[in-house]
Amino acid sequence: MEQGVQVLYNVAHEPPLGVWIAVYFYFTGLSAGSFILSTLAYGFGLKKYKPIGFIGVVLATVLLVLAPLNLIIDLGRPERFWHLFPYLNIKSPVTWGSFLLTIYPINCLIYGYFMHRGNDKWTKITGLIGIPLAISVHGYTGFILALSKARALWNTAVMPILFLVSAMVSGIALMILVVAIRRLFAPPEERAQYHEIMVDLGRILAAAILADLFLIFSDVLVLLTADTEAREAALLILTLDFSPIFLGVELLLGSLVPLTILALPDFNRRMGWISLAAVLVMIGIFAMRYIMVIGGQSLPLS
Amino acid sequence: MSVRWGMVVDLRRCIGCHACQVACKAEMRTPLGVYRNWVKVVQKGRYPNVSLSFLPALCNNCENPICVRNCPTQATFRREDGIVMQDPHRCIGCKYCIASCPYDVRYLDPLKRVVQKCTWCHHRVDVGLEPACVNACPTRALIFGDINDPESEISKVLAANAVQVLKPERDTLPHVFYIGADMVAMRTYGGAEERVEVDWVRWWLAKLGILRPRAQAGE
Amino acid sequence: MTRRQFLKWALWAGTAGFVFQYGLMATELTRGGRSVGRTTGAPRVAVPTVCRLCPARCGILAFLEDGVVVKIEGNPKDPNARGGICPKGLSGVQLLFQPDRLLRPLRRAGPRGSARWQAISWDEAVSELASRLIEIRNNDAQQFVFLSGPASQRPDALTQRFLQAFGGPTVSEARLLRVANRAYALSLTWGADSYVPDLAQTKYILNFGANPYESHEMYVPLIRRLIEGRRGGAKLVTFDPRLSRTAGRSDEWFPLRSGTDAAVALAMANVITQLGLYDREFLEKHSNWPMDALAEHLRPYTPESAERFSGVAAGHIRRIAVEFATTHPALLLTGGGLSQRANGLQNERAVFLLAALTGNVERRGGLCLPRRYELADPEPRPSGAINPLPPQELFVQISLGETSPQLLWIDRANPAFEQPQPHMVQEILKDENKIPFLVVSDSFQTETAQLADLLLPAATFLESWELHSPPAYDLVPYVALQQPVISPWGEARPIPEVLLELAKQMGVEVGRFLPFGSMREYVEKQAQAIPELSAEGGLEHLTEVGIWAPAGHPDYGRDFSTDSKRLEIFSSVLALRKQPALPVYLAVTEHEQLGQDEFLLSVFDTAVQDDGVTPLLWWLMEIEHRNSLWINAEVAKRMRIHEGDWVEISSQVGRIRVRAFPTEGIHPQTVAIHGGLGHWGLGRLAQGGAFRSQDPNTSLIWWKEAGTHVQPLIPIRSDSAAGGQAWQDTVVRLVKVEEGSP
Ligand SMILES: Nc1nc2c(c(=O)[nH]1)N[C@H]1C(S)=C(S)[C@@H](COP(=O)(O)OP(=O)(O)OC[C@H]3O[C@@H](n4cnc5c(=O)[nH]c(N)nc54)[C@H](O)[C@@H]3O)O[C@H]1N2
Ligand SMILES: Nc1nc2c(c(=O)[nH]1)N[C@H]1C(S)=C(S)[C@@H](COP(=O)(O)OP(=O)(O)OC[C@H]3O[C@@H](n4cnc5c(=O)[nH]c(N)nc54)[C@H](O)[C@@H]3O)O[C@H]1N2
Ligand code: SF4
Ligand code: SF4
Ligand code: SF4
Ligand code: SF4
Ligand code: SF4
Ligand SMILES: [Mo]
Repeated sequence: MEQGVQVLYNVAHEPPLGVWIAVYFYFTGLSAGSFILSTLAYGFGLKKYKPIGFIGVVLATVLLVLAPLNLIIDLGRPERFWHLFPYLNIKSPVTWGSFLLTIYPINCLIYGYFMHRGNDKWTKITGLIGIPLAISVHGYTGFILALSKARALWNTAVMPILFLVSAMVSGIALMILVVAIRRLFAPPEERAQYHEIMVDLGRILAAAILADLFLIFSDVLVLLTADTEAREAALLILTLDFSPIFLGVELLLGSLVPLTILALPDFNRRMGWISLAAVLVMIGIFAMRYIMVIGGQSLPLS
Repeated sequence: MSVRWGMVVDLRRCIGCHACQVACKAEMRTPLGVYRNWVKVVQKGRYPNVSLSFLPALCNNCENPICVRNCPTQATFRREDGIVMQDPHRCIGCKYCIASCPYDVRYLDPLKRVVQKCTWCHHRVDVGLEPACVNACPTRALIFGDINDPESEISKVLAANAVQVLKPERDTLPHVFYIGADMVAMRTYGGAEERVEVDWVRWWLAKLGILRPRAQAGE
Repeated sequence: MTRRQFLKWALWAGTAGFVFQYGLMATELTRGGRSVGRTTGAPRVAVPTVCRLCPARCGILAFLEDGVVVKIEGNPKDPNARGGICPKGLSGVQLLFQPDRLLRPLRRAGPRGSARWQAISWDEAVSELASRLIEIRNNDAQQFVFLSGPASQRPDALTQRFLQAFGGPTVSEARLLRVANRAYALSLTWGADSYVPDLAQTKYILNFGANPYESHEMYVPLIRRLIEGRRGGAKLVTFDPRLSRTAGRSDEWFPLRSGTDAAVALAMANVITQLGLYDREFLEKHSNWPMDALAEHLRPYTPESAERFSGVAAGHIRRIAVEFATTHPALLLTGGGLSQRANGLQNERAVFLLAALTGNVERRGGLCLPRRYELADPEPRPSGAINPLPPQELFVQISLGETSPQLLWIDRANPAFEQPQPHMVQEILKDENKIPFLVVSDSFQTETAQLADLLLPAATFLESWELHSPPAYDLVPYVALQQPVISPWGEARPIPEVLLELAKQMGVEVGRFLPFGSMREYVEKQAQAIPELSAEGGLEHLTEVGIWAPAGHPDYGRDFSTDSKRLEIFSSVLALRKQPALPVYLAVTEHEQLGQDEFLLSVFDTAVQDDGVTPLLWWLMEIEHRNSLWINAEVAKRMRIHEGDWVEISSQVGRIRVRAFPTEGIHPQTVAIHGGLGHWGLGRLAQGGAFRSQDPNTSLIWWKEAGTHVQPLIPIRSDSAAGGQAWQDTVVRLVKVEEGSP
């Protein structure tokens, strides 16, 4: 019975969410990651990381101002974006986002302002307030996908946490690159300090990649054994259309290669290699966002 | 009891003629390339034991519509009588409802840039007329009516026949009921033989110009 | 308040009242007959008329908003279609507002076919025609050749009348391109040129080469009853080399070798005779041939020999024969696959024999004679003769010089596209020696219209009058009115109206037979001639309801109108013409010696397209805009042909390139293709690609190709006894090619 099935007529559906949305997810992830790193020094008092505190918050803010622009560009009717507020629907994760995306950058600005003014107490308070916000901002994007129900690749419980962990991964990688650049322009006596931060961040990155890999592993494993649509979704990234990007870019180039670099004793202290690992990770996470958004919609529903 | 509209698609009567599909275009003036309803046609079997099945698809006007739950502006909402409405003036075109609907029956209007879908011809139903597709169907394969009225034609048909809905596991509680739908038409993923496995190493080598791409079947 | 405003207001109030009432009453909705504005909710004005996009002539309602036709729905009062409608009928609206309609009379201003035109007035056009026609009439009336279309329709009564009044013109009906064989076969057999299958009452449907799930001369009326019959327990068995949508939904499908139906049918007849399962009483009363003689004639047609020809297993043939003969009532369907062949006449008679043997003729649940009102031709009737000529033969005769028209008038037909060997037709139409003056009347620019010397903009069916009485599918005759729902666009005019004026200008000899002021007047006289209709208000009444259907019950058991008043199983006419008088299977010799990579080509219709103007309508084009070649999957694999690959098909007269569609649903020796696409001279919509027009949707067209023109493959070839074109007999050779060429 399985044999000889041929669809003679059906209509094609454009995937509703485009690359803009993948970019949006990517930016919010980077923003959340950077913010959390920035609070290491101010929120949790790890003095060592003070140099990246301010860079972190600037990046977090800029990215989070850029991110919703992608959303608005993607709207059919961008001029109506304000409908999100008066007509809100509290059950919709997009509505949660409307508020998070408003409050979070404001908090970032205040946090940055106090940091700039050297007001440590308020920096700490706003920093700590910002952490759940940052987690929510990115976590809610995971819910956007998880709660859309229609797409088997999205509709899983690991989705929000996977999004958070991958946000951390990409955020750390971004921070490594920023520190590397900062180091180039720093006076020679400060360079060692930046070097130390980079090596540390490299270690955290390796840990985060491991966590990310574990989540991906459990996601795929469960997809493979859940129901038919889930299995199709797993096959989509394992053997079918999206496998070259998933296996080649997200896993190999974006996770395993950087992990190896960061695990090898000699390499994981060299600035060039750490930076290379960070670049690969950033590419890998973008691939992940792309596979999620575009791949997730590529399985026909009708 | 209050009215709850529902639709039956009786595939024992359906001839796959696409009249319902064209009737909807004619009624709603849906732009070219997007559809509020369509008729899927699937063939199965090996020569000479082959057969066809049809599957007219449209919005299920679900009892538990995920599109409504997920719309951030309440542009799509459920009416008392079960019709899931779509307000083109309110909609911002975020397309989240499209991504959410398990049946892919929503579309972004390419001319008006807002999302639209079948609303069971509420403008007709509200003045006592059957939906345009039901009106057109040459074989009466489509039945529309109040499932809460035990005397209605649809209630009787529902009571007397084995019916199916699409993707019941999605818990949307669809209110388009099918009689005699074939599994291969209802399923949305390709069968084992439709899958083209990709050798990702070769794929990348070809992409990077190191290997010659293998000729692909089809276009 | 203007009258119009008042009317609107009154209608509004009416609906408001209705809604109110409705809220209190039951929840059943009405099926049709009314329509409201989508955004305003205001009731629309309904004008009943008749769809003319195929021969079925379903009753429809055209709905108007502010004087503009906005929607077409089925007319629930129509006893045949019962308010149902097909995708083509729904798309009539788009036909009316076609971006590429012809809107003014045009005279050629460059060489023939140069598409350079000069707009002229109707007066000028008609007076030129009148003087030319008078001259021809005075010399040799036969040199006025009229090709009447559209190919799916009988010519309007007024057009026929004009031709008779003219006296002696040569007339080709494009319609006869396809239906001639069946019409002749049935006339010979029982005196009427079609049958009405009493499907709703039947228990068994044996289908040879019809595809009523997608197309039929009586599409909507027929399929409705077929489904009723099946729901009532009737079994549907289909013989077709291709898995048509009908075959794909049948209880059993037998893919037989193309063209061998008669062998199968006669073997079944033989089985039925041998087993004594025939209806002795019926045959004694109605047959014109003794049973033992018939049995003798059938004896060589064994299921085993039929299996050799057709590939259908003898066991199946026996089983189906017994099922058919022992299930009562049972009936047959026959379609183009059976009749559009060089052996079409015999095929039809062979299959009809099965109904005759089992007595399923003029009985409940069997094949019945068509019931319709014979519409009167009002006095004074012209007595002039016309010289009929099958359309495909017309161009052969012109090329051989056997017919030399002084003036060829092609009315709403498109022979340069739709005829077999269209290149030859095009050559002839371009040749000013062969056709000194070419008049084309059509609503659209077509491949034929491009070549005209005088191009007249015809009104569409939605802008014209005509009275109809289609064969009643409940066997109780009725009358349907086709009336203008809107005045013609631009300067377009109904051609019969033009003929009325032309007749007047041609002087009293022709004009006295056409003394009608308008088409309406003519139709009114026709309606008056039916006393009961007249009593109920005649045409006035019809314009309001569209359908006049007196109540009644089927009167089964009508007499046959052959000369012998019997069912002519033995055709005396064929005997006189030295043709096989008892049904036979005529094998087509070249079919039996197919070489490697040679196939039998079958052409078919689909539910959303026809061979005519439907490619102009994007509601239909977006569903189907490409015609691929169906080929058996196993064979395709052997030939290394994959879906979407280009193949070149060549026949004895032409070659084309199309994409391949390997499928499990076709006989290994048959390839099949839908034959209505691939236009180059019909409007822009028929040619693929986006363009700008008043309709913003035309800029959303995504398909670049719009199919392949199939007719160039098909040789002119007719059934020698009935004259119908053999569309289905072409032998083609296939090769895989790299690229398609336009
Ligand atoms: N390859 C291949 N070619 C074929 C065939 C095939 O099987 N295979 N089949 C042949 C056959 S059988 C047919 S029927 C033809 C189909 O060819 P056509 O006859 O061209 O088909 P239609 O689309 O039915 O034509 C409809 C046109 O007639 C107009 N019309 C209808 N009624 C009226 C009226 O009352 N007044 C006016 N003014 N206009 C009217 C409509 O508006 C429309 O323009 O194709 C033939 N060609
Ligand atoms: N939607 C739609 N409806 C239409 C039309 C249309 O174009 N579109 N056209 C109208 C007109 S003008 C006409 S004439 C009628 C035509 O009505 P039909 O003649 O019933 O229509 P076709 O599609 O030509 O059907 C031919 C069928 O015969 C099969 N066939 C081919 N060769 C053989 C054979 O040797 N044996 C058997 N048993 N079958 C064979 C083909 O595969 C195909 O399925 O339909 C009318 N109705
Ligand atoms: S109109 Fe009716 S018969 Fe035709 S495809 Fe739709 S449901 Fe089926
Ligand atoms: S079918 Fe889809 S669009 Fe329609 S109500 Fe259900 S979830 Fe919403
Ligand atoms: S596209 Fe419109 S209807 Fe859909 S979720 Fe967004 S606002 Fe709501
Ligand atoms: S109910 Fe109306 S809107 Fe819905 S598919 Fe039918 S015709 Fe279209
Ligand atoms: S079957 Fe369709 S095309 Fe033919 S007359 Fe009826 S509505 Fe028109
Ligand atoms: Mo025809």
